[in-house]
Amino acid sequence: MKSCENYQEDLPFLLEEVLEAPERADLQAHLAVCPTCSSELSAYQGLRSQMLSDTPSDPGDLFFQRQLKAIEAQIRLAMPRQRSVWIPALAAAAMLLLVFGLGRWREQRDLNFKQDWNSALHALSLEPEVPMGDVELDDLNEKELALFAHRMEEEVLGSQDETWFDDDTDWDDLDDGQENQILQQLQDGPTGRQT
Amino acid sequence: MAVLAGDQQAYSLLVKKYQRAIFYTALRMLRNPEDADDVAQKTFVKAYRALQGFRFESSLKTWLTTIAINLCRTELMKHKRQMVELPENLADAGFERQKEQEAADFKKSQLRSALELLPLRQREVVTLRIYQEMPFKEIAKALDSNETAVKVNFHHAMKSLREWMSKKVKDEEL
Repeated sequence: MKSCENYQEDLPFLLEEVLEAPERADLQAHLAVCPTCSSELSAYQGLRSQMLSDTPSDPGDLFFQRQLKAIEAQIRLAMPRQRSVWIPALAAAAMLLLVFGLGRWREQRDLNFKQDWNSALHALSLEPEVPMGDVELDDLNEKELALFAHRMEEEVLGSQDETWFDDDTDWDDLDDGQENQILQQLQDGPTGRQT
Repeated sequence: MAVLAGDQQAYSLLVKKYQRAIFYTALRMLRNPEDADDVAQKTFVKAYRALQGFRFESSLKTWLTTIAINLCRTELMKHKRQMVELPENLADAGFERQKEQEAADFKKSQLRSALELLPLRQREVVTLRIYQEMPFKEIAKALDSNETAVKVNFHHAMKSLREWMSKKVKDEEL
């Protein structure tokens, strides 16, 4: 037979509603006939009610909104920045396009230049029978060189392609590599002869 | 799962859902709103970083509570708040009556003092059970204990507080 002390140990759990059915029934049966334990139950009920009534004052919605924002900010600071893989990929693609575009532009520029050069040489040809490929700059006298330069200028200024050559462009701006390339192309002979 | 994938927006919804419960748990443990706010913030930041390790073995609330309780312990240790055993004879506690206060307020302040004097583990169990209505099974998970031990702690805590109340009632009657 259980003592009042044993029954009183179960009183907090009776209030918490966690006793198994047989234990609860046994305790309730004892409480019905034991004023001491019944009084003790009331004391526990009062204690629990007093604890529950001691609720801290609500700091308000603004407090919790601020708290949320602080949490979000700390998370952003704490986590490593996840860089998009697309940005460097797009940058690389843009670079490739730029390089490719520049290459094509230079090729077209060189081609245009060659065409203009050939056209100027053709205009200078005093003997039409002479194949263009045999004309050498060294073969031109001063007068022919001046005419050649003049016709070159006319050809270039009249060119629709103004992207690579403008009024301010000075041949002296060409670097050694570009000059050599031009000269090499001239030495090799015209490929885009205009008729 | 969007949250486990690090979706901060989704996580904010979880914060809104549990921030009050976590804050009040910390407040009851620490009795200081600033410290409780700090613990609450650290709880959610820590949880976000550890989301990948959440195994769904307990509820999310229990998991958050576990983090918060541990942070509260750290905070209490940091401030070296003395937690002493509640003396068996509360007459020796030396509580002084403050006549200017309302009886209810006086009782509340005395109750808070008594709660603060409970051993840390008993205080944690009582806080989670009475104020958070957490099942004993979940409390055991949160405190990394077993259900029997948790119930024993709860019993001791309530018995100590009950004895304190009995003493105060007798003092008021005198």
